[in-house]
Amino acid sequence: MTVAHLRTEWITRRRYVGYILVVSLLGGLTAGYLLGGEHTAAALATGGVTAGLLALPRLVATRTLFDERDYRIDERAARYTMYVVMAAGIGGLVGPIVLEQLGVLPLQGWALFTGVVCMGIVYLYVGVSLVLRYSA
Amino acid sequence: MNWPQTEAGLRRRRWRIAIYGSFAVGVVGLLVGVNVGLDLAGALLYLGGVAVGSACCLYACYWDDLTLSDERFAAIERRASHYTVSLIAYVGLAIFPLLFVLEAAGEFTFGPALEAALYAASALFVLWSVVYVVLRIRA
Repeated sequence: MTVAHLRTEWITRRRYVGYILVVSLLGGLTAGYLLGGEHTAAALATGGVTAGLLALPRLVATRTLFDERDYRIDERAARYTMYVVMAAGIGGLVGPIVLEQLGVLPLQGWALFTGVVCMGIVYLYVGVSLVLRYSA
Repeated sequence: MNWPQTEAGLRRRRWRIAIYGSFAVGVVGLLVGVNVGLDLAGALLYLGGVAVGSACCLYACYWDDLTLSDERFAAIERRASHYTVSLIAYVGLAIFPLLFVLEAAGEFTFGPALEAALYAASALFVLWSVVYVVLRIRA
């Protein structure tokens, strides 16, 4: 993916209109929710974030914030994150069961659930990886 | 998948079968153990399978002269990680704000499982952000 490609992707009018619609909807819903709870300052902050998100594609299109190097860093960060998720998944899945069965600790539901969620992410990763490998 | 029928290709195939087989035995063992009420045996089988698979992987990578992975494999691994994290981000961004609004409207209540999933996803992206910043500073 080249810089020119990314620039073209962002600057496409139809994508930009879709982006504005989605951001406005989410921002409006969040602001309404916060105002309903009388969190005025938080609602104003939400408005600021929404305005920033609306301006972002324009900034990206004119200044090209993302390039090939950013894309590589993005991928590497995801890869290292996945290693930690794998380790947390194995530890979180096995640790609570073993400790509970050995009578060391009562079953820690949160740790077990975290393990299950992490392993779910790992299985999703394995599925994506298999699809990429067989379509390569 | 086509495997090269050279000596190195066959050895590579045997190692991969051993590694993936160990992980598969561990996962199946855990599922069976939990379902028949032998939680400890299942968990230990899982731990054993993962440990054997990891040990095989480390041995093949560092002590054997065999190359299990190559540039193409590493690129697929990176892309798969990126797509997985992106998928979770997009699904989370699409679903959780909606659930917050529904909860505020009294139409929905966050259960402990969903709360834990929210915390797990948040922790995942905090971790990703830290790794990203570290890589960005080092680059």
